[in-house]
Amino acid sequence: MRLPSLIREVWANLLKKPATVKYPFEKLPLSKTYRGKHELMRDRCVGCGLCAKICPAFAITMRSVYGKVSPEVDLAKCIFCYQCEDVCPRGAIKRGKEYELASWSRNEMIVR
Amino acid sequence: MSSIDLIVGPIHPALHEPERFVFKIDGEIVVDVEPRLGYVHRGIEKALSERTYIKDIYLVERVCGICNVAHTLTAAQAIEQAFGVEVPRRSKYLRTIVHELNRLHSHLLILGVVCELIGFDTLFMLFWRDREVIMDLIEMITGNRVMSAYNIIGGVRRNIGDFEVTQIKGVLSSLAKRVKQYKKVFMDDPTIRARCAGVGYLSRAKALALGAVGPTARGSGLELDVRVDEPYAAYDEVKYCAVIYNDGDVWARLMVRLDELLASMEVINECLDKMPSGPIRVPVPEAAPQSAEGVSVIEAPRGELIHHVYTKRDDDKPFRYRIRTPTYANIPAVCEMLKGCYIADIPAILASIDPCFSCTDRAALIDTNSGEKRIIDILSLARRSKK
Repeated sequence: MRLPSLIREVWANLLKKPATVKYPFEKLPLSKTYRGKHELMRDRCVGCGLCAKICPAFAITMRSVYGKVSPEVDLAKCIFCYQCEDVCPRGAIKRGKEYELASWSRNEMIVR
Repeated sequence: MSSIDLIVGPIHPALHEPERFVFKIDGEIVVDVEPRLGYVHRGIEKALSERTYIKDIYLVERVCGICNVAHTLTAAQAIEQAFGVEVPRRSKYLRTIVHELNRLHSHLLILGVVCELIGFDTLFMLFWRDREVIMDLIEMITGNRVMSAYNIIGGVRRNIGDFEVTQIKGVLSSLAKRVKQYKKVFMDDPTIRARCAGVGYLSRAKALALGAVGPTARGSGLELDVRVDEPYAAYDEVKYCAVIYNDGDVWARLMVRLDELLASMEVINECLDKMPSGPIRVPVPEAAPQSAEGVSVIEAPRGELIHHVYTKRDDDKPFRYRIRTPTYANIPAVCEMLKGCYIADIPAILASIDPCFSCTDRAALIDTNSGEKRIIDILSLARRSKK
């Protein structure tokens, strides 16, 4: 009976650090291009509504607050494709790095 | 000779997605099998013709999560053909690179799953550990681990620079060494040979007759690979030859995937070396400039994937959209493989075609060999379970 050739790999892994990380305490680094929670810059927004028109998941609505029309992103619907960032003529939508988006209420899922 | 019906699914621990199979068994041996598809039908084709082209790209991405790049690439190519748009050469190379990275992670995933199903958990863990580095590469290039949102009509959305090129090359060279080691394990490990060799046999003639595609067909000795037969994207400029195994069993289909991992890495390296500079996307009109038809065929990780689109002039929605996915083409073949096998081998055989049922569901299928269709209502199912 021959020793399976995988046995060396198994022994090597016993001496190595685990390949996984202890998630809530330790986090993996994110890439520069990561698409997380949106950062809306309302001062740059001109309220053109292109982002709401193009959104594939119908997650963006234009809402008027104190006379200024600006987008609201519903993260419960959002698919994080960032097509809205591509079409924005003023660069008012930025990719954020936040990815822990679970929440107890739907209201908290809306980025204003 | 009487046989017993063994019902597996729609929800069953051996299946990863809802699908029902009725196995007619005689003792431990499967005599006949009757699949019932349609549990995850989502009406995507109709939804596609109610949305604009830009939104369609993101919807076809969700036909299948694992081969999402394959779907967006096919859709983009089909729509570009209908629009009469030629994409820049650099974007073709970038598409090829991300498509092959997608294939790497898909193949590593299914190899791990098969190892788990045949009871080789160590190798499952190792495959999935190595898959993680590919996921990190995809995240670095596209911005997300799985849903890449990379291809778009007229090109790709993100460029890569020198840093990314060196990163990809470094990761691939270390991964290639490990894959070669796993290949050696697959060649001579007694556990894998005992569970996979000679199991789920599909002859070359049967594979051809039943229309098998992808690694399933190539494992039975059929020379079917869209990358070779009808090169798309940058495949006409890189060297690639199809991986063929003649054994026709589960082992051969897994070996095809292992060898394709190595072949894919060579394609990526060649693309990175040859990649021309220039723009990565061209502007494309929102509405179709002409009433036309576009067909695109590519080699997805599971086999041949076809998207067919009809456009209507000055309309920003497709008139009709048709998708034909590889798992759907492989279902008759897997039914043939299952005949004559042991019950314990069913999960391994099913997994060896790399089934993706959410791709598959759009119509009911009747086994043509038995020619009969039987409907079991919920009451008789309940009665059966009480026996």
